[in-house]
Amino acid sequence: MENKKSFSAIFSEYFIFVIFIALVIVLAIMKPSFISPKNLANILKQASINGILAFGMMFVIISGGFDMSVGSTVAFTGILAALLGKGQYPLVVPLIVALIGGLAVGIVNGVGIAIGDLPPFIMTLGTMTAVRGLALLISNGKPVTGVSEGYRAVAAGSIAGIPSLAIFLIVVIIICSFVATKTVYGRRVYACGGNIQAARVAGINTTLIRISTFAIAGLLAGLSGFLMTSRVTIGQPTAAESYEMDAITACVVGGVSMSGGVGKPWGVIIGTLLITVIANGLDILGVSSHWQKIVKGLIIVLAVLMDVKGKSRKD
Amino acid sequence: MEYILEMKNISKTFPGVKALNGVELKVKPGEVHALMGENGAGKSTLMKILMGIYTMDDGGEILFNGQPYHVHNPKEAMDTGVAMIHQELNPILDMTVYENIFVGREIRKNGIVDKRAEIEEAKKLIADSGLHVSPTETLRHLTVAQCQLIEIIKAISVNAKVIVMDEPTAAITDREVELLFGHIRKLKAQGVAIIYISHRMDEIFAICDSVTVYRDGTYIGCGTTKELDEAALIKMMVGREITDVFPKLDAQIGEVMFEAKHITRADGKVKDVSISVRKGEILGIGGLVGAGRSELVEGIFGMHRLSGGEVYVKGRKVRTRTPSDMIKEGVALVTEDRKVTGLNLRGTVNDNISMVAIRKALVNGLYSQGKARKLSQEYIEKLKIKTPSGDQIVNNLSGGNQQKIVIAKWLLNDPDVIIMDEPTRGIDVGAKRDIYLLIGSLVQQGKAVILISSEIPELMGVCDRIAVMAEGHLSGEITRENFSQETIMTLASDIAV
Repeated sequence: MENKKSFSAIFSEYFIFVIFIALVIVLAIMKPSFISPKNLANILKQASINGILAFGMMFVIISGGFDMSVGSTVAFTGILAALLGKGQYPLVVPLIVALIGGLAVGIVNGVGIAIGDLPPFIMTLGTMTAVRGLALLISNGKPVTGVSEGYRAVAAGSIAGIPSLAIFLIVVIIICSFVATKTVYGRRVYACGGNIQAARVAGINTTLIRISTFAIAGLLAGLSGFLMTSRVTIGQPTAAESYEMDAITACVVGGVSMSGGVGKPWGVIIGTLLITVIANGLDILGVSSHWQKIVKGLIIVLAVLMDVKGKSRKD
Repeated sequence: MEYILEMKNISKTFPGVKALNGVELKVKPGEVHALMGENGAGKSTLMKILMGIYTMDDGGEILFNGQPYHVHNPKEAMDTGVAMIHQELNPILDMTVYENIFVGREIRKNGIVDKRAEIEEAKKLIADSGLHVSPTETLRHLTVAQCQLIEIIKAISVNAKVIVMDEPTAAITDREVELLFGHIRKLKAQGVAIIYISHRMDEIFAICDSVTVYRDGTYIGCGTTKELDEAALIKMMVGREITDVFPKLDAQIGEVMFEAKHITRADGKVKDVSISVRKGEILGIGGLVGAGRSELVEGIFGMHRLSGGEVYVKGRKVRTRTPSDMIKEGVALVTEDRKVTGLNLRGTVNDNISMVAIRKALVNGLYSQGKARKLSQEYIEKLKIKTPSGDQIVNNLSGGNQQKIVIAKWLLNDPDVIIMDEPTRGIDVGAKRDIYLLIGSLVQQGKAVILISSEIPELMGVCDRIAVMAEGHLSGEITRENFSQETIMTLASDIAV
């Protein structure tokens, strides 16, 4: 037990933040164009969909779960939005349908896990596969084209130089951070992940909490699907492959513990930005995408290693 | 050579805290040596140094068999002849008995595990120990006591000269304790030295030959159990006289506050049990481990399905489907195992204290960290919880302080009926006394308390009335003027009526 947090403890807590700042400085020195307003806007744009998914994933992981199905859900809801977004309905229709589609997948996951008592990995592996099939089914396995001008403009536009995609992300961040830290519900998600049995004895409806975290992840996957179709201007049934992994990476790198109960929203923000900055920076430096994957893998392992080491030193 | 193990001038410094300050421990072959002290006294730290998990500070010396002893991990310690049986056993539940005995030092033939030889050897070891299990049984199907004996068998099979037992009786029944003591005596006769860590005084005097006491990381003294008595030991551990081990405060007993009638659990672990407790009264529930005491209160509290029975709070019938039903009626349950059902170990003290009554930490409907901190600070002071701050992670606190946090989280909700399941298990004398005083002040405030305990002296010291359970049913009830150890024991062993 320590009375005061030592320098090393503080360092390990904010380690990922330090790494992020250092990386930005190094990239800015190597390529001044990295910090041009255009590129910064670009980074925000690139980070937005992964960021939205990561915040859904954050709730699931903090409550002690795990969701493999969000990538497939993005593709599925993206197709739904594309089919309804050809100009035949007002834009709000594809949006609502995409959200409902995502929510439905999330609830199915949550019910299977919290009531059916299936391990999260197995349940969401199942929905990941089945929902991908669903996306292929409703699109006949072909890209859905003909997305209306108005729908395309959603992702293409910007307000005061900030890409509209990034605005969606910022709104999601604000709402999710607020819910996680300021509401009774948020505290209960942490309690469930910390010790589900103790939470139950304390009168918390743990079944409902767990279902709801998967529902949030699904809902945000639906939003991502809607935005993704607008961004790429077609509905691709094979899109968003392995997006769940990027979302998990952002959480883990940002200090969300895979065993549940621990994690802060600002960590997830940094995690998301870090991944995007690595990809963007290496792109600017002209490093091949093959190397980018290797670097990303190393970052994940190193970040968690530092995290684990930092914690064991504290005990 | 008089001692098998000599640890001299051992210190251990962690960042910001000195856990051990030049302590010593000298153990003779063939003796059972108790290592005592309150939580945080440094016992576990010393044992971790002995097992090679921690490295001691410079200047200390360890001699084993008269030779300098340097190990870097538990395996090296075992190879040298020192084995440890941990408080929380960690057997591999899905592996068989023989696999558990030989895990990490498998018998090999041509580089391949020789399963047949392992089973043969395990069979011999099991037979020697008087245990009746098959070597090919999986551990999941054994009782905690049997798993513990397997650990002991493992220690014997590596030819350990010194075996450390950390709270070996924390999870086993009285009958099994006798069995364990039988094994300890056998080991003694073979010249094996045992370092015995326990908070239970009766055990220390029943099985140990000598005692070493630490307090706050310093060496206080060493003596034989013949020359020391309980009072002297407590004084050494606490640093002051505790004249009254079970303080009982006077309280006004009023009308019936809580009544459970004909409680029967769907899984048959509790059969037709009725209890009631009055305002200002402390009702004890006694019985052997496995008698269904925890099962009874967990059933009442909505953690398990009931197939029959009714619960009345202040004369009104209430629903018992989920814990939140009971919490709404002002009932609290301090569960038996704080690590499993009591605490969010990864959360802070503030998180845990505000877990039940989180609505009290709201400002304009939103969770306020400042308010939660203030509320928990109040209880940290009230219950004398020793923690650097409310932001400390609960896992880093000692058992007694963790227990107080579980109690604090319920008290914050201001309950009328408080059920406590083994609230003093595994915590030190000083913290126990704090909890007895707290229970006393609760009933003085007009609350009703139900106290489950396996320690009969504790029940007799604190309660106004004791209900005794055996094999899932109620075998009798005794009022304070008729309390006697014999009556309670007789009722507790009242098998099959």
